[in-house]
Amino acid sequence: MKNKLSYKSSEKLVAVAKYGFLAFVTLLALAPVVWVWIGAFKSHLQIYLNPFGFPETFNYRNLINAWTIGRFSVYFKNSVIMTLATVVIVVLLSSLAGFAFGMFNFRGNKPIFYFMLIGLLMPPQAFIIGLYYLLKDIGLLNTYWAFILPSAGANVCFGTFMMRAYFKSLPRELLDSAYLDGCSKLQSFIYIMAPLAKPAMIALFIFQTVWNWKDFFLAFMLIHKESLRPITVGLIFFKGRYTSDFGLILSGVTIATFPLIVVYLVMHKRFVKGVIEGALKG
Amino acid sequence: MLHKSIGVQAIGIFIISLLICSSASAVKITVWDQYTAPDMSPAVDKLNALFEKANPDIQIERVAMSGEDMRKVLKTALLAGEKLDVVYTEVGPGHMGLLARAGLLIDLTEVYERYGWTERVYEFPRTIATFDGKIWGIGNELEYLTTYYNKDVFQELGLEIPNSYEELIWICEKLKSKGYIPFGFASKDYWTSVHPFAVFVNLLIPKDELDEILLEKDKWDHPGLARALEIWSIEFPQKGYFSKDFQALGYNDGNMLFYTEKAPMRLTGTWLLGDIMENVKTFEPSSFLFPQIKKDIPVRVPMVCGSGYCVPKATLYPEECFKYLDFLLSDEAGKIWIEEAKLVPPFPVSLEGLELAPLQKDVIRSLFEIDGGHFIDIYSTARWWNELCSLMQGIYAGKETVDGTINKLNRIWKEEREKGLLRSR
Amino acid sequence: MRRLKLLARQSGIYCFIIPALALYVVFIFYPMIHTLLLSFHEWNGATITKKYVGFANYVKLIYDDIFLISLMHNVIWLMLSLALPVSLGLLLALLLSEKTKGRELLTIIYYLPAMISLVAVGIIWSLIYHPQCGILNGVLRLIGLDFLTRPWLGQTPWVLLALIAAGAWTYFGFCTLLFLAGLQNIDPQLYDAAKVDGAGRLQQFLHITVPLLRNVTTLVVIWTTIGSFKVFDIVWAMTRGGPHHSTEVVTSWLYKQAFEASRVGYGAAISICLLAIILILTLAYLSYAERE
Repeated sequence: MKNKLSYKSSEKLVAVAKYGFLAFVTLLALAPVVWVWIGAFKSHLQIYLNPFGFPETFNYRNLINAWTIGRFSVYFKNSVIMTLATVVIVVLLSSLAGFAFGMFNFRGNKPIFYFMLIGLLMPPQAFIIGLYYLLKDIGLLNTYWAFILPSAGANVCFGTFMMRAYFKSLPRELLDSAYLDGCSKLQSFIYIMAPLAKPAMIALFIFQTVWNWKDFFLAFMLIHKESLRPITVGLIFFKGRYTSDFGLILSGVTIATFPLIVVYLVMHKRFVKGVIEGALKG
Repeated sequence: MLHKSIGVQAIGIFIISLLICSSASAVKITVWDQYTAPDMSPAVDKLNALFEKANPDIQIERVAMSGEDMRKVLKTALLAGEKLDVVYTEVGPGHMGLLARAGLLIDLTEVYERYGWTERVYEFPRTIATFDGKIWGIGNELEYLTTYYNKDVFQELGLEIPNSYEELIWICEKLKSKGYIPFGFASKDYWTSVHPFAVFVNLLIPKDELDEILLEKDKWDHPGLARALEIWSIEFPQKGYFSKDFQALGYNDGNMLFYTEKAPMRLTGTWLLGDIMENVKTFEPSSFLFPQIKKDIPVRVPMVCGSGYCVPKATLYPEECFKYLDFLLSDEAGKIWIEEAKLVPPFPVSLEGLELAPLQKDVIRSLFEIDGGHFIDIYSTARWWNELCSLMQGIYAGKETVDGTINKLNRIWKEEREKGLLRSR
Repeated sequence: MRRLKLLARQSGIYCFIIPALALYVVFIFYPMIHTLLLSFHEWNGATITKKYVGFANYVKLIYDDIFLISLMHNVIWLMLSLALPVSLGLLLALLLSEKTKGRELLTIIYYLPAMISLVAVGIIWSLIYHPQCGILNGVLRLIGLDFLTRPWLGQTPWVLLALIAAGAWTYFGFCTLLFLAGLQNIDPQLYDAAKVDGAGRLQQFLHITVPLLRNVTTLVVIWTTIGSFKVFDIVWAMTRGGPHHSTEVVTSWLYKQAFEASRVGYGAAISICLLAIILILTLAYLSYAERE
């Protein structure tokens, strides 16, 4: 009896320690975000003098100012356009290429595939200088394309890698029977394989959306026009302009972080699945 | 207060957008400037609006960014043939000089004659925008480095403006003993270290020798350099004249130390004037020039033009750009520059009838009385002064020695001199 | 299978690959080659002519103290990332894979910081570390650990650690998710069998979990390696490599050289080095992981 009790209490202790630790990590993950969101409603002096305090009055002027004068409305629109365009291109082209690499045995399959893998490892800094002058020569600098095309170019490598793995895992007999039915390759892709690969495509879509939305370096280097800046670049210029007002900066950060977090919270199941499949399959 | 100025700014933007909508056939010129401070930005919007009103056939698209951000993107943007029409950039050889020598700017020498700027613009803002015998821009914002101080605290402790270095040290000790941080200094933004450096080399190296170093020599071989580094980077922090955490504070935090009355002195440029007038409400701010250190070297105060306007070659509308610059040099603009942007334009403006705070009047008056010294960054390249600031951070942290710093700086200085990147006579 | 080969022999399969390949070659690979060529020149980025200097830029690299220091910082970044967010992720995944209340909610929360762009993370954490109004020093004072407060972003060993911690904050959730997914793929019967054989928890972990998590581990390690050498945004937003190069990483040094100090050729040489390092490390680790 005594033995059983102590066993139970030690079990309890383990459980307390475990949940305590999990709660601590939860606090670590959430506190900075919450602090920023509350700070957005405070004035500069309030933040300076009392960083922890709740705002005395909910001063939403910071947010309005950031949205209008900080031009976050424009940045927001740009981020949406650039992210969506890139992701659509990546998903489409990677699915096509992944289908070919994963289901067919053709001359050059392996070498071309490995060649594309180099792109997966390449840091943007390794090609940014050359890319800059290329875009300048073809007149695409300072357009949405200056972000979309290179970003898609870098990410198709990852996408192809991931889609190839997925197509490899599909039964090949399906393709065989489609072929017997007289389908062309494109037909069999559109009517049979693509619908089967939908989960992977959705995962890739989500993975890429988060990735491109957060991207900073390419747009920072290649787009100077204020009216074309995405939200990440806008944010750093905004910080450069209003360094003397923490409340305004926190408002900018809030606007920059809020949308993706909300979308994430609403669609978290898809996100988590997308990330896991995106990374694991890739 | 800030909200108010942002409101004004919003109205400015609104007016501009109205103007843009109303005149569709006008020529559009893109202007990049660095007037991002909350008091300066609306003033520039107002100037642009006035210009557009007077010239309905010209529209201005303004892009404002901090100097640091502009340094990053300007050169590549111009080289890439981006259609910029007017650019407000640093006048050093690493900035305007580099662009001019690469053939990216329009030579304004002839334009100066045509528009009569030669007579209108002061000599200093003209000469610093001169490279290889040609004028490439107009320096705007006449500024010098000064020491702001909290007059109330000084009076309360019976302190007077120092006339010598010894007196300054005595003041610092006195302030320290009363629990104040003598200097509100902050070094996390690496470029802030260049300001005290400029002040000290002008006080420690005689004019002729400093001129020689900056314009001819491939080496800083005067002992004043080592002393300049020692005083600010080793002695002051060791004596506790800065806050304990000054290495983790940015430029604005340094200002905050002054505004919140924790630090009664702040050594920086007159560009801070507008910000001080907006933020300081609880005490009377005033300023003095950093005092003489060596008996035989008179006080010379580093003077600078914040930056300068220039016209890139890529522009399709050079004449419209000149017109815009000419407007910025007009009497009408001069009033706004002084009254609203709180800066000193590069041409004479009558102060009569202008509403100015006493501090601002003092600054403008002494601008024309002081003996102008060299603000080092308009003589060096970006590489050299980035390294200077970084090395000074190293000295604060005790990771660099003064000798090591001088050796490294001289190595780069020599390389840049050999490549012809520095100014010469 | 033969039929498939037959199918492939019909031309046209390349049409599926060409769009993706073209995009990659034109916008990534060709610019990389261009960068490689630039690295053999001396160029200030503004003039029309470039001076060919052979391998001089690469030789300079060896004597560039700051390049070597920044490389070391990347290595430290990698080591600490493996030590901190990666192992924390593994630990959390192990805890969550047992019966845990609110598991789904916790996973969501842990991954939430990863939704924030690194620029925003940098800004948020610079404020957290702010010596006067930051919450880190505030919390330390609140719980009586005053002696731990310090100017986090101004002092040398701490500033790099502070940056790495901020990076870890956005990264540990990703590791948790991946390890959790890996753990859920392990057949629970294996553990039951082990229990019957009398294996303790540690033994189960070492003999079942670790080997079966190998694929996920390889993935996370490679991911972390690439990320640690590519790191730029967070450094740029927080310290720009300062004070006195104490947070300089290869990418920020490259950036300063190529775009601030106008030494484009030298910057190009740094970037090619960076690429070589990443390629070598990844391939070395991959071949090591595959061999086992």
